[in-house]
Amino acid sequence: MHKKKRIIVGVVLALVVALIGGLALALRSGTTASDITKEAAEAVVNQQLDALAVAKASQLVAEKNHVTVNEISFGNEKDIILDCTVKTVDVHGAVAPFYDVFLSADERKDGTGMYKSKLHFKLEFEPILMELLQGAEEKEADCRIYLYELKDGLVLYADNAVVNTVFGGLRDMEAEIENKNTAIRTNPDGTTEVKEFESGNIKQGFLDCLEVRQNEKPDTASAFVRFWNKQQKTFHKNFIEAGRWKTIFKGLWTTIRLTVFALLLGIVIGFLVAFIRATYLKLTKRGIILKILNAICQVYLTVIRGTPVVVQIMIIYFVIFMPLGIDKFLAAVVCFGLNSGAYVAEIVRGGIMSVDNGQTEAGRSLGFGYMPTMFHIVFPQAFKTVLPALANEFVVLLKETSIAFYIGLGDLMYSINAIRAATYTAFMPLVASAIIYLIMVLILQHLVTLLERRLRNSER
Amino acid sequence: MKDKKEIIIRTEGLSKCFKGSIHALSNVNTEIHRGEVVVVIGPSGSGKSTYLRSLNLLEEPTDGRIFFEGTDITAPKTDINAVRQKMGMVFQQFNLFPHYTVLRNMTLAPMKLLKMPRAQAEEMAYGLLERVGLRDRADAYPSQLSGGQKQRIAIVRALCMSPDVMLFDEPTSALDPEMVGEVLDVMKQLARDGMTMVIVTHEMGFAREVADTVLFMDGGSVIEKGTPAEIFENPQSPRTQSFLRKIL
Repeated sequence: MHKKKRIIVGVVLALVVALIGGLALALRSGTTASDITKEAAEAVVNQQLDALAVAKASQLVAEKNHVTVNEISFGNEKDIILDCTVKTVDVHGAVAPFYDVFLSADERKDGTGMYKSKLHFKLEFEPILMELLQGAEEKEADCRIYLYELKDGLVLYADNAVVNTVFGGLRDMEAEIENKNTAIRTNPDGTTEVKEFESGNIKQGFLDCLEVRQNEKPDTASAFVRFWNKQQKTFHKNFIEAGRWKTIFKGLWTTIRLTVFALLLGIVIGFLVAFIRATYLKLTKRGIILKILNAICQVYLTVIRGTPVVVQIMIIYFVIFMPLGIDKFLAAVVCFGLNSGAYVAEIVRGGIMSVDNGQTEAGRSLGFGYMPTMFHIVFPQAFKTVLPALANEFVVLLKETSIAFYIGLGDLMYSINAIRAATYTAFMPLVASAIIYLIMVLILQHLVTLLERRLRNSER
Repeated sequence: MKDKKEIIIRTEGLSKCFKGSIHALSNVNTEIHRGEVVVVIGPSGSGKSTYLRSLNLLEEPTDGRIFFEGTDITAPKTDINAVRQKMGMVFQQFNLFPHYTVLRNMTLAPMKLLKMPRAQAEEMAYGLLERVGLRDRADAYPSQLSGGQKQRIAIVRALCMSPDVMLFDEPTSALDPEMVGEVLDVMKQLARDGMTMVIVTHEMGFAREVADTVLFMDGGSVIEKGTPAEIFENPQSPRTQSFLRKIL
């Protein structure tokens, strides 16, 4: 019955996926752009190319260059392929001989010892550069330019190569500047000296004078495919770029370490407190030491269970540990160990109390003392009873460690938040953290189920 | 009768008063000799179980003294755990350890308390299991056993500590009727082998057959004491008479 249902659901899902996929592909390919005249295309191209120049000097170049369309053809992505001749000025040729003159300028302000900003250099270099470009030689080149037909009009695809050609080898020039490590300075007396750059400001200021933007390939695909492409890009940005997945794994490792140590501490504290409380409740003759221990446990349980864990971790770190110079990880372990210990204690105490008194009597009647009876006879049985509740507590602990983020501990949540802040995207990093926590919880629950089954097998 | 034998347990003025001032035991004076089988009978609430459980201090008496093999075990300095090693106890509810196999139930105490090597402890355990006919159940868990089997295991578990005295607290009361016999047979065997036994039971036929001495208790006191013949054939106290009339 269930199997049949599952198969039907599977088939329906597969059909839906195939339908959407097919639709998307159909919408994406095989569509050609509307007809267009050479003149119209030329106007669009020139206008959009000029708009790419954003600095004064580059705008000067943009004014001088002109694109003539020789031939129009159509691709099947709603794109128009224009084979053009570009008339422009030789920016690269005009500027190249003067690299050292520009770049050997003094980087520090006179006397103050402060570095000049890139804006200083831009303002300094701009008039000189414009003069140079005014006198630059003209040149001509062939170039293939793409126009894409989007909903709101034609969009030029100006990639690196197009910009380089149209702006007279501008990108080549930029690459050469980027790769320069030293500049040769010619002193007024004719001697030369090699100078290393002290800051990136001088190069950046120079490049800013000639800034020309480029754009990414316009996406003419269907809404679904565009959405998909965008998600891929966002995914790449959030998890692949700048080794961000490594950050996540580093945080994850911290979370796991934190959980394991807190768990161990919690179990130790929990069993100890449970043992004291159960002994106090079971015995009728109570020594003064037992009474004091029980009172301490009582206070501990009340305080820990009566205050929010966020408050606890902030008090433990900012009030106690930070002034002592003890690191965040230890503070978090202590906090979550103490916190979890309180809950474990009550669970285990319930387990101990639930073991039949006859078990204790049988142990005692054989000659075991109180403690050995507890360890050999009562605890193993109590443990089995409380295992599901304990496992639940451990799952809660694992999730609760995300609060360590409040004291700036670099756990999983911290890494996720760092990515969120760096990429300005919330959806993917946060959902990723949810999925990671969920997977860990499921693994933990599975392990507990296995353990429970093993324990049960020992009796049946 | 085994009057001439050494006294193994002696109670002097044993009293127990639970909170709320119910006198569970008042001034019980008894002597149990080595090799003697003492059966304690009486109506429910008469203090039989409290008396038995006082003997190894599972119930702490509020007054009176208990001597075991000459030492006062109610004295504060007595190591009660050492004393209990010499007094085996069998409970109404068996109280086997459910998380251990039959074998482990039996070898746990000798290995931990007497520091007996595993091989030796297991050999002894197998020997005892053989005697009660349960050798093939050595690796079973208590939940896999019937009530009669559980109680027989409980008896041999206590025997593993080679006790000087065995205390039985209504050992057949929680059993289905058809299983009572197998447990009583084991106890009879034990009596024949000369074990000192104190048995609280409602099995009058068994008491008559096995007991050297029968104690009739009521209201926390020993009302009458004597051989089975004396108690069952010719009870002196009217309370004994009325009790026996009701149950026989």
